Amino acid sequence: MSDSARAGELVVVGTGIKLIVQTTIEALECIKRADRLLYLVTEPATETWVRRLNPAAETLRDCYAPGKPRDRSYREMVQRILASVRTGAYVCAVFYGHPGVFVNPGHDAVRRARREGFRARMLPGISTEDCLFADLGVDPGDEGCQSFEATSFLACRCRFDPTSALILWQVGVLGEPSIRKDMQCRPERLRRLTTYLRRYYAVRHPVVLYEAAQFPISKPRIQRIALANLPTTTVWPITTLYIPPKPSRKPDQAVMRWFDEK
Amino acid sequence: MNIDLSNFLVDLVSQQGRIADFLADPGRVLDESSLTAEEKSALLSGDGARIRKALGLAAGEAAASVLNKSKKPSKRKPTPKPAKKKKPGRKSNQKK
Repeated sequence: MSDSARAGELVVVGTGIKLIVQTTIEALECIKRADRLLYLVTEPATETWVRRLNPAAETLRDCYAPGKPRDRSYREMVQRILASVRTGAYVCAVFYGHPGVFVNPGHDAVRRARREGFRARMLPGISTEDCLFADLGVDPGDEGCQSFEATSFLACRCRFDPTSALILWQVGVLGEPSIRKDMQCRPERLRRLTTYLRRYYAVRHPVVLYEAAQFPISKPRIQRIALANLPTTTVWPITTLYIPPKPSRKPDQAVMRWFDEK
Repeated sequence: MNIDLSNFLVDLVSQQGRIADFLADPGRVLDESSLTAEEKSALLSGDGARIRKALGLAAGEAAASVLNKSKKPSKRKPTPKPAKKKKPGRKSNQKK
């Protein structure tokens, strides 16, 4: 860290997915010692806990408003975080899960604070992807793993390798600019996604609809179905789609012989 | 926001030994609480969606505060094709 850094410091942390138990000790210490704490979490129990840990906690949730463009809400969050740092305070911004995975304001706040000469860092947290590997018993190192935001994946026809695992995030909100109450993915959009995936996978290829457990007394949702049944299945906004890899290609024997070389 | 249930869950997880008590005998721990029958039933189900609902969240509401806006693919202007060299004009053979 540079000695010439301005007074004021930012640390961006994540709470993990499961209430309390997935917050790292390092993040916990930052939450407790922050002069100013701004948070954006998904359910009231985590909010209660954060407020107990640091009575100075302020929610960023009021940056959202019905009909307000999400990008504008994110910019406001970053502005509020930066305004706190400029007061010279030790500021902690708390986000759900991993603060750098699918959290635009987390990275943006760190970048802007550094650009303005403040010390700023992000601590890793436990993301849904980490929970998925544990709950489904898959190792991304085995066959490789690709992650895409579902709408971007479909809209941009992202190139991927079906012999590696595929994870599609936010599959429950395909092409939706905002979330409505009791919202599910529209079947016609799921059909469109399924049609695209059918170019690469057989109709009976298994897929998994996954939701990580949010509470230590709840279970993750793991629903295994055939790809063909995806359009007729309920997919909530927090659902993630995991597609296991197709059988891998035959390895290059010339490379495999390297293991025998002395 | 359901304050009672939120506080109950936070205490359950943060107080030493309490989660173990719950897992060993959930009925006893819930009977000692002032939660409603509906809240107790949600906790006993172990169903995240029911617990979220008991906390006062509608389906999908939990996601609303964290979901990134899907990036719209940028509308790129097509790269202008290099201007074709004009072929030497064919002279019409037609007789005027």
